[in-house]
Amino acid sequence: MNSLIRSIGILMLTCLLQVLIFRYAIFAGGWVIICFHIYGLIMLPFELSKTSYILIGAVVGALMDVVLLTGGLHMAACVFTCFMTPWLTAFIAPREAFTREQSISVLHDGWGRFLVLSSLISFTYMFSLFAIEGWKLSLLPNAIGKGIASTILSVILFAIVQGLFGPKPKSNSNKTTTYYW
Amino acid sequence: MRTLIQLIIRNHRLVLFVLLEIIALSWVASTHSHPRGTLAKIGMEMSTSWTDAVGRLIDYKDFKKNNSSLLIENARLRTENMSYRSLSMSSRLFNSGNSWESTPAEIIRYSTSFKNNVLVANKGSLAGLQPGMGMLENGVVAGLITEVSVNHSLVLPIIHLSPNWSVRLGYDGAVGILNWSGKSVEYATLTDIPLSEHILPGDSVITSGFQGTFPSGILVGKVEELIVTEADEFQSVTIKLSANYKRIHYVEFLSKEGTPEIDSLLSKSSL
Repeated sequence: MNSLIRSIGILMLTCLLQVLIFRYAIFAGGWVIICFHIYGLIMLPFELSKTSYILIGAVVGALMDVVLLTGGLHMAACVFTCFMTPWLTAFIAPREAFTREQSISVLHDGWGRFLVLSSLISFTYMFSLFAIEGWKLSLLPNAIGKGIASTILSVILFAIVQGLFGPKPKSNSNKTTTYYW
Repeated sequence: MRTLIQLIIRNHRLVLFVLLEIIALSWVASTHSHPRGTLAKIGMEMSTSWTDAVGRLIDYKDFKKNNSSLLIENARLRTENMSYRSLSMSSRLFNSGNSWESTPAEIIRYSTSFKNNVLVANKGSLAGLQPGMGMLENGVVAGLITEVSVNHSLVLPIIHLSPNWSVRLGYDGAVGILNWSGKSVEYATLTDIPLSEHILPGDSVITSGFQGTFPSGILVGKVEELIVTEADEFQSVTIKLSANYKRIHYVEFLSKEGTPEIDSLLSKSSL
């Protein structure tokens, strides 16, 4: 339960940062954008049901659309990504599966799994966003290119955030002394 | 019936996903051409207070640059004013007997990365702005108001896939339709120009005045290159837009006194 509240808090914070700061992060003539709220979606715990994933995705996407005036683009991309997330998670899960209460972290799952899951989720989101936005078969290669470019930048940002603010290993140094004084 | 309900319950995730996607995609479809309606207004009001603050910070940063551009703009207006005084009554802007009024405003939000870009100006119905009014940036055509709230306006720029703009090649050239291909924010395509029309790179493209949004003769851009296909009777022209969407900030909106009268005539003709 604690991890769920923590994850929802992270999701809300990432949405806020997206609206206030990262909405301006548009580079290379619109080829590279940052959707920081994807980090919040990645950090949702594995214990969530698939239905909850989809509903949370719909709410986050709709919120982004209302604030960023993107008229349904983020909602469509978010719902699709959250629908796909359980399969993507299962694809990279270790043999003994993830602990249900936990969300992905470098500490528990290592950099490899974190980066692969972040890349898969980010690319699913970015690609669906640009594909729906272009809405033409001829613009699909364009959407793939933009998706890859935006995913690379987003994943770098997620890795930095995870490195700075992710769970840290507990220090091994024993602070209690064996001496009675 | 029971089997159907059982099937839905068994596949409730898929049903929920499809339902939400339909809602999202119909939202996309309804706003694809014109972001409008209550949601657009709520979005504008929600985000403008923050962007106002960001805009003020950018204002401080850009003071020197803006001052010089304002000086140039003042000089241009002064020169234009002088030339109008010396013109006869058949001046281009006042040839219908109804004068055009301009309302200055500031762009506080913009997007140039999407196919359907929008701009938000810091003035709305309180300042007399209405949907359908044209927008100039540094004296050249830049967009069209599509939605207004009390204090803000939503503007469709030329770099939006849906609107078509009626423009003319030079002051006595052919009239064609300008639209944006969605590729570069600096270029748009002019179509429906007869092959007989002699066009050279660098020729001016100006408003025709037929849409009632702008007076005729306002600069839209310059001819960059011609696209001629042998099988076609018309030629297309790539236009370098004069409006600089990467640096757009101060704009003015145009309104015409006789517009309601013309609109009522047009609505009668369509009955």
